[in-house]
Amino acid sequence: MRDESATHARLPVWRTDGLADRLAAYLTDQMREPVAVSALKRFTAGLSWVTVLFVMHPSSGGVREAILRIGDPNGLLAPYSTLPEYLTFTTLNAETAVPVPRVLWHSDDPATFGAPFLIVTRLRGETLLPRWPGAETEVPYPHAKQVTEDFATHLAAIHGCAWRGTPIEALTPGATVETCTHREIDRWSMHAAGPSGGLEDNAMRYAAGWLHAHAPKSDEVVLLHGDYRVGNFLVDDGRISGLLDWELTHLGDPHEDLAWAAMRTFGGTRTTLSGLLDLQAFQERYTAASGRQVDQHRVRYFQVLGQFKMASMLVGTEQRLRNGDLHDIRLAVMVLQKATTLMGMLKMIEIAA
Amino acid sequence: MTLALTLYFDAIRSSMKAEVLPHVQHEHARSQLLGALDVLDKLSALSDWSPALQAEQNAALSQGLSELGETPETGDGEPAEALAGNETAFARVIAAVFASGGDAALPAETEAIIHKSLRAYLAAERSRIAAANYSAMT
Repeated sequence: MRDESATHARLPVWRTDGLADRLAAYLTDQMREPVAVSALKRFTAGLSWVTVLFVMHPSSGGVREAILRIGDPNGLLAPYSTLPEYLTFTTLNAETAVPVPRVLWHSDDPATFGAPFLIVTRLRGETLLPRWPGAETEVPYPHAKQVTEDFATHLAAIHGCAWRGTPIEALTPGATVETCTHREIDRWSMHAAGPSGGLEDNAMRYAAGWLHAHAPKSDEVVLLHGDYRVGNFLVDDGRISGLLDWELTHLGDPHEDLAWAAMRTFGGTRTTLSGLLDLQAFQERYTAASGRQVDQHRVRYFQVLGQFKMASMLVGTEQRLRNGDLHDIRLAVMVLQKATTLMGMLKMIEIAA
Repeated sequence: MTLALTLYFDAIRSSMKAEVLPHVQHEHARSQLLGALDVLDKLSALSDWSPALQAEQNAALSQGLSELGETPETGDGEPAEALAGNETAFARVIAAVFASGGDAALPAETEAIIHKSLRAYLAAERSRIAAANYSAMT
């Protein structure tokens, strides 16, 4: 049994009531004028970066809301780095009309808050959440048509980003049409590695072998969001006003994002994205906007890879539970769903094969 | 069920003490939470996974190994050792199947046995754990 009194004495500042004072001090230092902060509100949606809304009050005026994101060293996708989101936001804001936040400050140094952090602008809108099978309401989502079109058009713009020669190239150095998918499999195999240094679940070993053996050669390497789905964008006045949660962004096959968006894990069905948006309309609009055909066989392959990633996250979290490092109990809830996730992955392999 | 059950108890206690207790101001609510934590402490020392789960998982792998022409481990009558041995033996089979690298065509019969065995192994666990309601937590 662990000694909690010793553990609590070492809590990093972001997990304590001292966060507001530390945040004010940091902003005062960065803005070279006294800055107060108020109305800190931690969001419970999402299980990855810890997200805190706050209001900053510079002494010279210009009160505004901002978002502090903390990369919990024991969070779902730890270890976290701010670099992927910083590079992607900076490039997309400069090169495209894709609605992403603007990074105000960021650092991977834990000295300030006890973990890597980003402070970004707040985008207007509400998060649209998946409608799970069996949901009480049958009423169609009123903005489905426009949001589907926005969702497809923004994805086409992301995939069309001319990343070569930009800082984004550093996301997946040296990625080629032959290697990008294999590298993604290896990345997630590493994430799920146990004390032995390799995969320790037989279902994961089997899936990794299958994925490598069946990986298609990509037609092109594009910028991927990496977690493109209902639940990770904001809607304001019936239009998508912000694309969020870019921590998994990388370079790879465009079918990776297309497959992920339709995963059953996120409430997807045969005909919908997350029970809300029309799947066929989404793919048709994507093709029209991007000029890329959607290969359904590849979508099925990348859904296996998607489920492998989901399982890898659970296995990685299991390692933190094993080490006694987990403090968000919801992650333990996820770990207990590992068998269900792995069985889903085996079923997807059967379908894709 | 690769982790000891006590680790889950520890995670619950740690989360309650660090993330919840400091924010519970109502005296009666605090008394209930501290009482619940005390009960968890006591139960933690008594808890373990169901032996029937281990037996089902072991049976799934043993049958698969037999069908693949391998000799299942018996663990000298120790169920945990037998299961660990069969998990290792199954890992060897999977590694051998994919040893040829880029060969996408696996023997259909071998693949079917692997699938069936892994599914039965996982089903033993899944049948004991209900689906999570993430909506309520986020």
